[in-house]
Amino acid sequence: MIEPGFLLDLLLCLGLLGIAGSAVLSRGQFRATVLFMVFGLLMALTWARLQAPDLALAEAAIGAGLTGALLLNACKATYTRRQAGEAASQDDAPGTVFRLVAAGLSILLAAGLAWLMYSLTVADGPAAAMARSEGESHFLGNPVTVVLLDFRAYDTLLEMAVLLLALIGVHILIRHYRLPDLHPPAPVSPPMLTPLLTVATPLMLMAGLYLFWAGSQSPGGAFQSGALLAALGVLYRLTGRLVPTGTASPGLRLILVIGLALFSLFACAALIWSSAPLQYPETAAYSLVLLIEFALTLSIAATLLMLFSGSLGLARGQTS
Amino acid sequence: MTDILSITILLMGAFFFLAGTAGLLRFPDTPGRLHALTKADNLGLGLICLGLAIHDGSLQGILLLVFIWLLAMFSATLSAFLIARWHETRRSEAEHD
Repeated sequence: MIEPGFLLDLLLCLGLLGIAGSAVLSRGQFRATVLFMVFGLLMALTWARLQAPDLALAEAAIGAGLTGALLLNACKATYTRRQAGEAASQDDAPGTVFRLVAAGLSILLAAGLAWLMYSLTVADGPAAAMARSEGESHFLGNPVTVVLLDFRAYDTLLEMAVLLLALIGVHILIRHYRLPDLHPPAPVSPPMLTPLLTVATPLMLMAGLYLFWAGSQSPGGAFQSGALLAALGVLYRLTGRLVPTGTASPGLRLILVIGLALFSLFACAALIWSSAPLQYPETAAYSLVLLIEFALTLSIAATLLMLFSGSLGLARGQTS
Repeated sequence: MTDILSITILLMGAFFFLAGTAGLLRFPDTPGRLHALTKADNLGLGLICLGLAIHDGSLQGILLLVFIWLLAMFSATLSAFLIARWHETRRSEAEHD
């Protein structure tokens, strides 16, 4: 007797493998990028089937959505460079040896990871049991948020630092390469654009803020919410409503660092009322979590939007 | 009775998705493909939402399904319009060259 969901799971697995294979093997960056985005959507469905809605939301918003937009931008940048007749053909097409070495290393990594995952005893280690028993009486209802903001808050703190460093790295690279005028600065306004923005803006704002608010008790949280708000910013950026400036304003800089800053401040301040950093106080723990998570949401949204906005495909030559 | 009704409607929705996908793969040009795709999006998804709504029966579920359908139609209309517009500009550029 076949279980009802078995066929769907089988189709999902085969689809994931097939799309991953064709994304890697397909010729042309655009094709590969679109396949990667489809892969992200299927992955989100898979997480949903595995009853991990938090991961499904994150995968759909960041993996398929924002990463896809970033990759499409990169495609456009290489395309424009090739159009401009720059000597890009030599940089862009790696030789056979390079490809073989890259493929070999990737296969090694995949095999190593598979071996590690296979020998991993899932779900029943002492840490998992403790997390489950402690999590039940925790003041946050969503076990994923409990892990992200309390049990492993250290990881989340470092993740925020990584995100900020990535943005700084991207901006250093952009300065370094002195971009040519890649994207003609023509503000477009096709007829359907205004209705799109009028409908999408309140819906995405509402959904984004809901994900933040719901994150402490049910699926959602700072990363999903931040990605959705960043997607709204991407919409405004692509339609010419948000125009990049040469330097970031102080307000924007504050928003970019506020997540990491508040979190670090809390980590230090926790030493006042307890012996370990990142320990929530007995009173007002919930409001503290909300405050930190809101700051994280703002920072994540701004960082993702700036990553997109600064990427090569949209660059408007500031150097000329 | 409602089960039979909802299964029939779901199957009809699946048929529209199948036909739309076949059209997307088989039609020769961009407008034709868009035509096939939007049929699958609007009618196929609408029928599937209707079938699920009949199966679900609760007011909250029905409202959510209607909302999902409306959102999907909205984005499908927009993306179809944008792709068609891109296609037109490309074609007129090619004619002028």
